Amino acid sequence: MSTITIHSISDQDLVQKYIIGHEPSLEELIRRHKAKIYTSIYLLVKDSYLAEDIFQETFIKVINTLKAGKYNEEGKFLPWVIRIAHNLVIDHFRKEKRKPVVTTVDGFDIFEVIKFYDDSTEEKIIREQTHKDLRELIHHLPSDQKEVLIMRHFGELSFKEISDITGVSINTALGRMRYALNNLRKMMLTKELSLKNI
Amino acid sequence: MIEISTPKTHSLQQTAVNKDIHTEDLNEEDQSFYTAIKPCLNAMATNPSQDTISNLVNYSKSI
Repeated sequence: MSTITIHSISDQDLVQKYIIGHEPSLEELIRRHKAKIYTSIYLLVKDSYLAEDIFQETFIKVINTLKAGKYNEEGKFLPWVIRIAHNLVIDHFRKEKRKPVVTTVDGFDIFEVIKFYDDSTEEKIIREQTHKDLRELIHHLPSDQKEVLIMRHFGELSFKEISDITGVSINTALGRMRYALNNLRKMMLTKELSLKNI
Repeated sequence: MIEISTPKTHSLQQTAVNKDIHTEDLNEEDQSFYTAIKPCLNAMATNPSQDTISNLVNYSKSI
């Protein structure tokens, strides 16, 4: 007897099942990729409420496209959704007539809820502070470099996929990633942040 | 004896493909640094609210 669960079904098969009316497939696709997509959006817009809105708008487009039978089966699901989210972020900044800029986080920081129960209190404090500092450094990266780093890490996209989404060559996308890492390394040296505390 | 040779054009195409694959790689130093900061990047991952997900599921069922 087959014991295949919905969790073991590929994205492509879930998409096909959803298109023919299997609603739980959509829930599984969202569950599977929500953190990657939401975090990618959040790190670009730096506003949790706005990120929620763009995440929702992204999936409304996904749902509408799939239900209309307009999905291109040749593409992978996650890069396709990241592309939609990326375009909506760009649209947002165009509407606001400003580019993603770096600002200091005021008020509640959603990442402060991260816990490290296995560490000593001192280690925990140092690690949390290092993570916080590194997050700030990432926000200080030029937007094109930050964009590639986020897509590569959270979207798990190849440089080819990133180049398709951002409209640059593969080498430019790769170069931006290298600059991002190099800039982070330099900023960490300046801030005297140690990798051993990560 | 049958001699099998690779057409020159094929060889060139293969070189181009290999070059593309190669350019997808970070160099060792960059990759090492990236690997080192991955735990911090992973710790940054967060989720949308359950309300947002429920809204999407309900929207999908409504159309």
